[in-house]
Amino acid sequence: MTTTAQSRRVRLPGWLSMRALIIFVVALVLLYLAPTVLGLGDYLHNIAGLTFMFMAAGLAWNWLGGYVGQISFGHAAMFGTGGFVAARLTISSGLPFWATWLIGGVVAGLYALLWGHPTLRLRGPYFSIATIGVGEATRLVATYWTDFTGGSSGLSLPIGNGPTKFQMYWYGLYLLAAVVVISYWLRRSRIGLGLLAIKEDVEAASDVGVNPTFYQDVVLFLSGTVVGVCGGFYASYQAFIDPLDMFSFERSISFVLIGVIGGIGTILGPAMGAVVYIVIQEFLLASYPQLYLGLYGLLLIFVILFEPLGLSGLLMRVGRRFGIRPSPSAAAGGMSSAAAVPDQPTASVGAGSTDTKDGPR
Amino acid sequence: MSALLVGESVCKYFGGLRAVDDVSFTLGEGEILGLIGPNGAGKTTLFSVAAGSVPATRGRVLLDGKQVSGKSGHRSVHQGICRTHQIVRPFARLSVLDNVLVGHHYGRPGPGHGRPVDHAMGILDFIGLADRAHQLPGELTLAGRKRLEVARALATGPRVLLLDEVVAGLTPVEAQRFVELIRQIRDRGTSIVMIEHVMHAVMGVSDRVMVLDHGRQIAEGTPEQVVKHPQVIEAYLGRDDDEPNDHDEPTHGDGPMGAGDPASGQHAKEKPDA
Amino acid sequence: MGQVLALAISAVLLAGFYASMAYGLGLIYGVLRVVNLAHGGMIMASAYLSWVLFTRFNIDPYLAIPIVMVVFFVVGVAMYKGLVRFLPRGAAGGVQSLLLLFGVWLVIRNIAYLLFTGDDQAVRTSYSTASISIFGNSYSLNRVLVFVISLVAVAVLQLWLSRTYTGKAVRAVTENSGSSTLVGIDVERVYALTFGVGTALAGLAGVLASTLFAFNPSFGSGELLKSFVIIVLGGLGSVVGIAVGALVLSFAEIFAIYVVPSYLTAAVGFVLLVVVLVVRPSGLFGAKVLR
Repeated sequence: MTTTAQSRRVRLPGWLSMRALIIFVVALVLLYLAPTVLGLGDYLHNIAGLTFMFMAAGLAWNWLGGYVGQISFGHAAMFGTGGFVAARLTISSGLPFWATWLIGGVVAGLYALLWGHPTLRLRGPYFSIATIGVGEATRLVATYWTDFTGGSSGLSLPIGNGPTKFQMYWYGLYLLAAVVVISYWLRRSRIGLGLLAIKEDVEAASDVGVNPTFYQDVVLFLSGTVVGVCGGFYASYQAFIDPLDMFSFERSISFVLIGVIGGIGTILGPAMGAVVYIVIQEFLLASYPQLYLGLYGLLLIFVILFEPLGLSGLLMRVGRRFGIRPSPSAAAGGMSSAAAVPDQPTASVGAGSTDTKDGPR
Repeated sequence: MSALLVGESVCKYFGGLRAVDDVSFTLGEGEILGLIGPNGAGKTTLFSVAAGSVPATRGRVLLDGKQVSGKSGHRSVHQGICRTHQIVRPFARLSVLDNVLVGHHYGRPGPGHGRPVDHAMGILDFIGLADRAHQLPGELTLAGRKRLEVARALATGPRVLLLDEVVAGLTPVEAQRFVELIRQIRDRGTSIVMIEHVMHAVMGVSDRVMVLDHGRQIAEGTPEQVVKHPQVIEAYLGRDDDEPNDHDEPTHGDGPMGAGDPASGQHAKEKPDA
Repeated sequence: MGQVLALAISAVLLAGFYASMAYGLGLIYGVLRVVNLAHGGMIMASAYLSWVLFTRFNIDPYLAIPIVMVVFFVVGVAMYKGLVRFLPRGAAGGVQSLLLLFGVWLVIRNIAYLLFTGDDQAVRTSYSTASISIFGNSYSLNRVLVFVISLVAVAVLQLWLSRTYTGKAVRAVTENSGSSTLVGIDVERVYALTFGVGTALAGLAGVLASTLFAFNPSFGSGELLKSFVIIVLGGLGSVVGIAVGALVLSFAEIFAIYVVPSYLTAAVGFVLLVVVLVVRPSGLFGAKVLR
């Protein structure tokens, strides 16, 4: 596989990558300097660090949910696994904090492969419902596995040998930067094209040489690993974690919401989604905690009905008004809009979506 | 002529249905083999077996001495055999160019064919879609989408191309152009097996023709030999009472178009002597 | 041996409830190719409706069944006309309908939370503790009643599908919506009707659940998951498939106590799901569900 990759040039759409690179570097430098220059205040500063983590997790969820079109309602399983492995290592070993995050991430990625390899052969709703099962089963086991997770009393991390909460801002930024790079790479390389092909039509993709099993496994592993690292980050950030929170269904939902609100399948949409998520969470719901789920539910319904590409879709609309046209395949990242794909309820999976248009016109 | 693709007693049963029953065939380098037969004869199933996406019940298919049947579809593509679908399946939200690039990137690894975009544009140019490269497949006519299906398959660098009814449903003029295109593909060095209902198309372009009926091979030879074969004449003309079996083709059974193949009405009218 | 028999009867009783629970989800999927993720939320909402009718109006849950089913039929039709209708269906629309209905579920949960708080509730009738003896073992009267009602409901539904014109239209659309339009079936009407009937079945399952279990606004996710497992196990469109799926699941759950700690039995359904997917990706009956 690697020889194939090397013998062929990675497809880079010239102008865009250059521009994206410049924007990326400038944004990175600005965000790096922001706390020193602006002096955000402790609260905003810490929330910003947490937002970076949620951005990274949302982007990673989107690799699977958006690029491949496999919506996972069970990513809390990896978030929790990564978090608790990292926490256990921090408590019992002298490993540096970043190593505990990485190991936690890889363990989470491997766990994702364990359940994902068999279930990824399912498409669409079947995969999604299976992930609800994974999440719930993992939560049950984690809650009762006291030796590992501390059960309902949770785990406290030793203070002093990790970064301070103030420093977490920059570690969150590094994490996010790495994830943004991977997002671009996954989407814009030839792998991205293969993933889109899988998302469009698994069988047709296989018929032109794409190995759907392999690429879906790779993406799930990467996604699980990054979400696991985020779990480790979260453990260090909070200095206390308990399984009821880490593995909760609400946690899984948060990744879905971030991805969908921001723009499923887009490269950077989930980063915007994370900001909205945190803003709602911290500033709105702090006053009305009982509206938590309903508000997100309404947001979800609203996005699906009116702007399937979420905030990214809104941005694209604005861009179009100013004469910026995305490439024809750009919209492929998201879900089909009702207009793009003919209504064909009985079409067998994969086949048929274009059949209705057959015939001379 | 050395045999490039060899089928050895291929059988595919779906429960009690013998979709393909003990079919053997060979395809020489640079040859075009026509595959005809009434609907439900097992032609598409035979393609699926040869392309690796459906495992054979018995028998096997070899490409250059190496087995291609019974593996997954993508591995067969890497070995150099690629199929198209009767009902075209473009990646609807990828541009025409990106559709072809998928084939290029994931096709048969081998001697590089230059820069991906150049290679893909070269194929689109050859196939007559270069000016449509940045459109979506949905914006093409049916003939255009059939061309795209072939272009995407060609981009995988196949040694053997399996064409499933690429001419069906086209106007006579489009069909004539397509037949010419198939001949050019062969002349560029790709061997071809083609399923076709449009008789004059398949008879005009094929070097040899194989006839299937109810999963069994009932005749094989040059187009001239085949049309005179008594069993072929019987299969095509003598058994109108078979019509209800038309929908047996198992691989497309649940698609709404499975029964609505625009060409399916033609074979009864078109006499094999066309 | 006696214990095995007792557990087996428990499993059969449970399977009845499971079948009625899964049928609505399967029916909607079969006809619309939409997995109703709000199914669990509907079951939860209906359990609360049953509880309200009982505690406020003194209506016995079993007598409330017709009321609840009518209410939920209307809710289902409204949901179709107001939301689901606008979504592309089939493979292409799968992700969208999934997320939309998931959003609906979240909203229902939140409404239930606002109205009833997060506390556990249960419907306790005068006969809640009554029991009945089968082969020398006693079983709660409620469980037997739930089993019988489930059987009746599934049988009535099957008769409706196979004997009435409307039912046949629903089946025709399940087979092929394009051809159904050609022969003059109003497909939109069938979709709305199906969503209504499927939701009414969720309503029925909710009432039955309210007599058996304590519930809170989070109730229903397990029920959704189990319904899904049953459909994957048994396939669509046949009562036999649903019944077998329900039996396999209930037996697996009940007999799992021999193998795993009791707190893990809730995970059994999921494990079963994965095992079936690995061993028989097309379901036990070569289900058309998965293709």
